[in-house]
Amino acid sequence: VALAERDVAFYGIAILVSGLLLMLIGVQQIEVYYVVYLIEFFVVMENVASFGQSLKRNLRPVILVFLLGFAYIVVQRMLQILS
Amino acid sequence: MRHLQRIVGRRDSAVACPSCGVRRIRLDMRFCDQCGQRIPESLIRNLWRETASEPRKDDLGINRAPTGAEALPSPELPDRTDQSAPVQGPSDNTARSRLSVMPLRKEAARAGSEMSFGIKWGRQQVLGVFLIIFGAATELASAVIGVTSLAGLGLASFIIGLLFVFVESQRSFTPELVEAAVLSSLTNIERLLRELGPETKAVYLKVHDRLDVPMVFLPLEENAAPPFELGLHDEDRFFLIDSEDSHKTGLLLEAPGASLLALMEKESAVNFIDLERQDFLDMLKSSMVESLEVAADVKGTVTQEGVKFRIKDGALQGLSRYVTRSAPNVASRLGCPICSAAICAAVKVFKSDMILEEAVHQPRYHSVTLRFSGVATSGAS
Repeated sequence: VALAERDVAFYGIAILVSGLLLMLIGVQQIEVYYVVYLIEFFVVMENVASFGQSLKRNLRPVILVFLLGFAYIVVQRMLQILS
Repeated sequence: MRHLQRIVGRRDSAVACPSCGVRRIRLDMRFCDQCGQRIPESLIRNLWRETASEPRKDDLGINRAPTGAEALPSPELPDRTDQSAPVQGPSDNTARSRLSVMPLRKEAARAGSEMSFGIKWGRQQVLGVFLIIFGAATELASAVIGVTSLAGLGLASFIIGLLFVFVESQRSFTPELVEAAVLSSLTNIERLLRELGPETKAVYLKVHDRLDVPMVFLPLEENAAPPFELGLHDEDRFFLIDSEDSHKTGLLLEAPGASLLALMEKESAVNFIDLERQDFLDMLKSSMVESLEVAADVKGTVTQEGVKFRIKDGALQGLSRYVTRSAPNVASRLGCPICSAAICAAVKVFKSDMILEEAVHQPRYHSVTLRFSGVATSGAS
């Protein structure tokens, strides 16, 4: 299970680096940042998944927050396109 | 002269520890195996109610608060007859149980709040909350200033904070440390087996209840009678069984893999007693290979006579190697902890006594052959 902490640290570094890269590129939409972080999160989760159900249960609220945010972005985009 | 002392003990059972969530607690000790925290009396009493067994006189003796003399460690074996202390009258018991209702509810409510999302508040969680607030503040600031790229970093900080809060910090242990911690206990069982010299096959006893800890009976004498005729189910109080009846002479031990199985069940969130027979091998593989990674692969077959499986060593390969080398009797007659955990799982799923016909430990593989109790071996029939 200790490896999970390593994964979290790895994920933290990954999103900071990708955030800085996106900043350097000059990306202005927060949705892009969000989706990149989300993709990275699910990649790391695939690694963590093998460390047992208890950890996955703990991460459920984080996944929920992520999915709600993603749903918000999708709905906002749809409204934007429709209008 | 061979004299076997009758030791009246209670079979261990299980309850969730409110501190660490571990499922197994020694009822006679009232402390959690894992974290050492004292278990509230009310939870233990609740467990008694669930298992529908009333404490015996000697248990009441254990329950009472220790006096100064009792608190001192005794070099002798505990004489359980001395512990049959003043049994309360029925009126006292009623009063006690009535009083215990409120604390039990309070504890249950408190346990609920502490265990919600499994968060234990520590330094890491405080750091997480700080990062969440920092991230939110950065988001707000970026919105006010109008710098969107700053919001990206604020979002990153917010997410890392969330993970810090919800991913519980746990210490890591090397397999060598686990081996060193376990080996002495197994060596003691090895010495016991060597001293008593039983050359019989171990019988893993049927588990009746989801709270029961799997036990293994090792007859001291060759016994043709199948275990169900011995009535061992009723004798689960005995650690060493009286030699007056040769059929019941033997060692009744907690299976070496019982704790490992409890951890497997906790991690995979499945109790093997609830499984169907056809799901056994899949679930065993999932628990051992994916959840705990104690094995690299598990293959097996289930037949009318019994179960055979072959386990490929995983993270604890050093442990099984050490056990095979230092405690060969334990490894071959009871099974190493990994094999034993798999056997306990089988006993829970098949709900039948199982005789360990053979446990072979090769450098990277363990092969276990189990026979259902009451089924004659193919050679014998």
